[in-house]
Amino acid sequence: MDYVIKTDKSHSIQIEKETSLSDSYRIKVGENSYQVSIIEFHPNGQIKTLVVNQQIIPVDIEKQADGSLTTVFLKGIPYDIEVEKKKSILTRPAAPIRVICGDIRSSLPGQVLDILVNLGDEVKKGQPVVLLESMKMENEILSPKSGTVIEILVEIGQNVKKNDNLIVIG
Amino acid sequence: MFSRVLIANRGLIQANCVRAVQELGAKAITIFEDEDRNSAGVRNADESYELKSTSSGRAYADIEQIVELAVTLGVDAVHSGYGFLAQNAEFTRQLRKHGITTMAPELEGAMSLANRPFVKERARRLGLKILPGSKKCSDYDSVQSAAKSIGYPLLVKATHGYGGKGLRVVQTEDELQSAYNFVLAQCHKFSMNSKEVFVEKFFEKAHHVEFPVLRDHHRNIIIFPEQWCSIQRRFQKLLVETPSRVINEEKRVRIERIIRKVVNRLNATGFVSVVFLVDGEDIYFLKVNGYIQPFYTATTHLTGVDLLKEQIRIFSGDPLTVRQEQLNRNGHVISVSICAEDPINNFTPCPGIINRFYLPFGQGINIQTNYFSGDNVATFYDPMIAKILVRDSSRDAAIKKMQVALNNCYIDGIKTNLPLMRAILNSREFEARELNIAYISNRANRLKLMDSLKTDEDNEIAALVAGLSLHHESNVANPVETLRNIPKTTIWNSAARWINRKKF
Repeated sequence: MDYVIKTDKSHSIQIEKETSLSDSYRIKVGENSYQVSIIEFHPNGQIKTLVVNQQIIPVDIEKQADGSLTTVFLKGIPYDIEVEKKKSILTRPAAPIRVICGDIRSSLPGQVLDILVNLGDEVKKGQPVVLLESMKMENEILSPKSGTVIEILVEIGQNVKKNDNLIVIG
Repeated sequence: MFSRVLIANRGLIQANCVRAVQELGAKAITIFEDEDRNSAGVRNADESYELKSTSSGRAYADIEQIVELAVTLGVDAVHSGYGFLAQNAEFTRQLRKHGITTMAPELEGAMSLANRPFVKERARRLGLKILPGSKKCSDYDSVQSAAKSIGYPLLVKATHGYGGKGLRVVQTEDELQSAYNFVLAQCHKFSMNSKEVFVEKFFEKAHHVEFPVLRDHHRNIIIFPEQWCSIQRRFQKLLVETPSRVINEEKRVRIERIIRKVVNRLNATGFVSVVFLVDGEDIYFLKVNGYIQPFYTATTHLTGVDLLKEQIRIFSGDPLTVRQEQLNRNGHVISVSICAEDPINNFTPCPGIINRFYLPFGQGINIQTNYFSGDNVATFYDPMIAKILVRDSSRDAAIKKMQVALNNCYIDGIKTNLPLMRAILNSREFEARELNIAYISNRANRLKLMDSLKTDEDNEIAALVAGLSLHHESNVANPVETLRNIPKTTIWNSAARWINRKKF
């Protein structure tokens, strides 16, 4: 959680959240460390009152029309803000959308006993395509739609988990 | 004592007059325009009447409507406060015609007091040094020739001006014409008795000093400790100190003797305020105001004498309740005016709804306000929303007290001059009495004052607030990612703590 924010000079800001339910943070500004909690929000979600190192500080924040933060008021005195660096909190890219109609997934964990179709075969909706052994029973996995088998992703004898992709129907 | 008094004003003075009248045992009746409906004075009055709006927009200065109301309601007296019709001779005349008492000195006195050059001449004859200035000028030619002999910088002033209205500073000759036009326009806009102007030398670094005076019908006079009022914007006071401590004892005694003579010669009964400019060793008489002043409260806070009530008592025929010798002059009072204005943007009025309204309180602190959190501030008239007064044993102690009081004061939802007043109180220049109207009107000076309040830690905290605000916003926008980044054990621990939290 890193930012570089300029008021009188550039300050590097590091924010570490202490607990998730009480909006409590340990924030490093340059060399100095501050214990900060947010105790009040405005109805529009903006920060209204903070506790900084045991002192209650009411604040006012002014933004431009495009939403960017321009001024922070402490006791009515304006501090011009320039955001020099903003580090994103996303640590990995958003998961790609996996729902593809033609994906046939295993509905339970087990072992592939038999693959009942070949690449290029025409299948109909509801047709069994894979045989899984699970919990000492044989389970037929059915195709969710009509189409052509374009991918076979498993082999006989392979152990699969729930929701693993087995076959793709195009 | 009167039985029914109509208070023809609004805001703080209205609230104070209602209180004073009620304390004296009379009924307080008042008027209001729609947006002042929630004002303390309107709520507290025994009867409140809504004014019909007028084409000029200033119903509080509508002589016809208010006189008719006063007569219909059968009031004994009308208190016009300050501003609006307080100095208007026509208003006083019409009320007097119906046998209604006004709080203005005798008609002769009111006319005379409002006529600045006339009063100055009287004062000069009685031995007071007067500010270099002209007689009344009824046209631009006479203004021009007066300006030539007086020299720049100078002030063009409406003869019957009041409350900082109807005056303009002129630095050079080419500004003279527009200044004259401006002042003429103000004469009409603010219900002044005439459109005549006069010209006066402008000493921009001089100290502005005022003596509040009470005089009853039995010729008892009290001259109160003088007020120091040099911190102004647009010729209206932002801060008042009393006693002034810029005039030495010997000079003060001499001036008080002459004030007595002036007030007696003018036969000015009731409350008057005698104003001087102190420029180094020179003390110049400026004018006499014949109506209650906004900062009379500072003198009350110092001496314990309620000047407003005394004024009302005087006009009902009662003598003063206190004598000059009994006056408490110990200690020091500072009074600050908080206005809904932006000191960074040229004191532009900032109407709006007050959000947080945290005011200081405690021993020696007096707060005068008729607003509350959530109230709507309309600044069509006076943008003053509160006065903060402190009293302590010495000037240094009073300054410290006011610094703490202003530090513990917080107002948002509207912009106010509070940060500027805090900066002034904390500045070396204020302590050394180097601040004056010229200094404060300069925007760069104001910014410099406010900047000097910023410590290194404040700058870090401002940066911290900005960072936290951005951080919080992106958390709100990405709750799933936020939760993913927190170790599971921490979530369960916090949840347990939260569930088991003590309920108070």
